Amino acid sequence: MPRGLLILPWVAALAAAQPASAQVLAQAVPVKYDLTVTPGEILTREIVLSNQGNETVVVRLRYSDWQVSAEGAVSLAAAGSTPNSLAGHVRFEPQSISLPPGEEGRVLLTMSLPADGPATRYGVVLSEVRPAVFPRNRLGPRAIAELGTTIYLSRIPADRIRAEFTALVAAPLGGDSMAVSARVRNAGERHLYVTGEMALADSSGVTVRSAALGTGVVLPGTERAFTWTCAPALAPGRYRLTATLDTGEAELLVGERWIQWPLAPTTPKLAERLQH
Amino acid sequence: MKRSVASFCLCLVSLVAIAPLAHAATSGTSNVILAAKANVKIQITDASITLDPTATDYANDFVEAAGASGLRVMVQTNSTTGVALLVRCDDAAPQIALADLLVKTATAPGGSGTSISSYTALTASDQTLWTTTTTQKPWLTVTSDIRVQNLGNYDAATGSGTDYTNTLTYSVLVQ
Repeated sequence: MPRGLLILPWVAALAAAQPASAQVLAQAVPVKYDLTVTPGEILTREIVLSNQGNETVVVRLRYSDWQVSAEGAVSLAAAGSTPNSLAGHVRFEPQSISLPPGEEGRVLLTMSLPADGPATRYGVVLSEVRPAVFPRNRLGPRAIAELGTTIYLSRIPADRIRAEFTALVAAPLGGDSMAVSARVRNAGERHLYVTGEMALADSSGVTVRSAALGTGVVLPGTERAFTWTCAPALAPGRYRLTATLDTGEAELLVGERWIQWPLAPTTPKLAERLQH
Repeated sequence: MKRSVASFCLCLVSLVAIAPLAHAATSGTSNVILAAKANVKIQITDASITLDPTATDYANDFVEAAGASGLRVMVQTNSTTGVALLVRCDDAAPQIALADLLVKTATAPGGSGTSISSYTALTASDQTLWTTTTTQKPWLTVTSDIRVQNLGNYDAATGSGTDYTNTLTYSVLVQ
């Protein structure tokens, strides 16, 4: 996905952005392994990469750590740089594949979880896909995509997760908007997924607004906010906010609080944090 | 709420279990199980875009390709946790200084996802350009608006001009 900037000694008559044809169309299956393992056990799995484009591509694989912020932003990190890294515990073969159009390639993953250290480790195998031959005589012909396969290895069974609802906060965003943030802490040693919904009811109990929350992971020992941004267009008055969260445990987590609409102004810093 | 759902399922399973016994001599049952796997597809629709600055661009000291002229990447996933689209420029020697190469997207995030909605300088490490927190079953085009600023820093040879090209890498990642 290259960007070419052509600086000419004269001034072009028209500004133009000229896209070239598609060069990469690729798929990875699966993009996640979520496995419970016995320490020391050797696991093998596959990643199937397919080239659905019109040109031969070269796929190169590498391992990376990754993390997710309290606001849900995912970021990659250098291999071995995070406490729960799988660096050194995941191998893949081959590390490079050439795929003609319409072909698929299989990568064998070999994984293990040590008996010591964090009970849950995670990382991602990245498959970089680029054309085998870049077109000539084009300006900025580079086009690169990268497909991640996220891996979780845990020695804690999936039924032994522990989530805590820590806060339900509403903050004005300006105008008629507000951000409602439900914060969940993972008090266990295994990652967990949170989904659910938020609702706003008037003083008589009638739901006036509601929304489903997307599904997101909460990593062990971390806290994460699930935020609903809305412009409720409400009449002034008291309203009840309810967040109902499903963490995969036997009981749902439910948080409630009353708000007075319109919301009192809050600090810009808090509003900005909730917005992002 | 969960208990109610669980009770209903129990009754249903009981009925299903009884039915085959009644017809054991003449019929059988078989289960068809689809073991769905999370997958992601990515298509780089625009392999490259050429920016030709105009006199106005030079006066403004930037040139951009935005909206329909931007760089298009299409994504598709059946992952219920959605997908994050990251972007970086890790060229060893970027021809366009990274501080001069800005990106944003006007494509709305999915679910309660996020996006870079104001111009931000590219870096060698990944930045989250756009996310969705739900499945994205039809192809979705995420358009990157690209701006190159400080045009005066880029010398042009006489004749056919000078090319300055960087490579952007778009990564897709699920949680």
